[in-house]
Amino acid sequence: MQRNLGVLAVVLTSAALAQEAPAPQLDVAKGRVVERPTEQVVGQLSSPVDHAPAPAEKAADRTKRVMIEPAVEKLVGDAQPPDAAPTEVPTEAATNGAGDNPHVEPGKVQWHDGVAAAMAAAKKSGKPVLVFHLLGQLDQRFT
Amino acid sequence: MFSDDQVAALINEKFEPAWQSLRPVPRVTIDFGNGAVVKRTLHGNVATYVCNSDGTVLDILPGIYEPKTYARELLGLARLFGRSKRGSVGADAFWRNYHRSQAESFAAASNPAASTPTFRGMSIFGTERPTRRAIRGEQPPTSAAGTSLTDSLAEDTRMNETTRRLKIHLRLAKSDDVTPDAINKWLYREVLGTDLDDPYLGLKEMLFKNYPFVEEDADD
Repeated sequence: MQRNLGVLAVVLTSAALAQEAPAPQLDVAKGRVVERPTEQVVGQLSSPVDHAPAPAEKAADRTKRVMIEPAVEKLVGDAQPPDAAPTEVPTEAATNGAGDNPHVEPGKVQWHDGVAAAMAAAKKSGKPVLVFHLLGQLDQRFT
Repeated sequence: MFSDDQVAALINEKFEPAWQSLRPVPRVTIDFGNGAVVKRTLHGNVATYVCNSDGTVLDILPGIYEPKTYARELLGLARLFGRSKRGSVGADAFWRNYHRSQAESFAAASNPAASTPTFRGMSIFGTERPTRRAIRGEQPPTSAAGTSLTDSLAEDTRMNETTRRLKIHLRLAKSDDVTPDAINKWLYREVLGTDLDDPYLGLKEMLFKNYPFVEEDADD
């Protein structure tokens, strides 16, 4: 019963829409001008197969294509967000021997070379010792 | 914190600083398969111990702090250290009395029920919070603007200075001659919610509880 009512609703809706003006031709033109080049860009990146060239009638849309497609190409080609880590693992030389965890400066604090050195310095200076514990290395990017 | 000019200047002037790694930090890498790769750290808990020259722990600042609060607390501890050396009572008794009085005032000023940590006291760098929320299946805050790094840091600082610090005062009020190495497992497990003896740092149940391929992965 519910299914029949649903079919009836679809029929009535379709009939109502059929009485309205037909979809404007401009939508079709937009589909050809904007969406087809996007599909081509994605397709060219994912498949080595050459796609059929755009019909000659698109020549008039060349300006619009040029204005729109670079952004799409950039979006697909540069999928990695700007603040993300590099996709490729840096070489050992590039990361100062730290693998893919590059060396960074551990802030502006003048750290002693270990807790024992800090304690020895504290005995001379009379200052307290500050020991900062962490998971990872303070002088590496990922800590 | 250590890139902040005020914090760095204070530490350089008032302390003899050293840092120590407890273990490698766990890292999460998500390869989206289309060239996009995101790398984040997980469970990056930290702790700042203030010790005397023999390495005895005088006080602990747990977790990551807003620079202004971190500097204020460190300055206060540096001044207390000076007073402890000049006082009429011994240094041990001075610090025990300090922790006892701090614990009493913390307990009186805070409402434990209202300040119970949402994440079992975990303290991690603000940038990791979204990853942690995603892994734990928790919803992000409902504020219209979302939670910024500043908001997360403020939340961590508030947690540090309420429930976490209270636990430390209660512990140190009853202890003498505690070194960082002797107390760090307790600190990470009981205060920061990270079990250093667990290879999964306490996250195993959450990671595998509803994962259907545990046995298959174990065979690999």
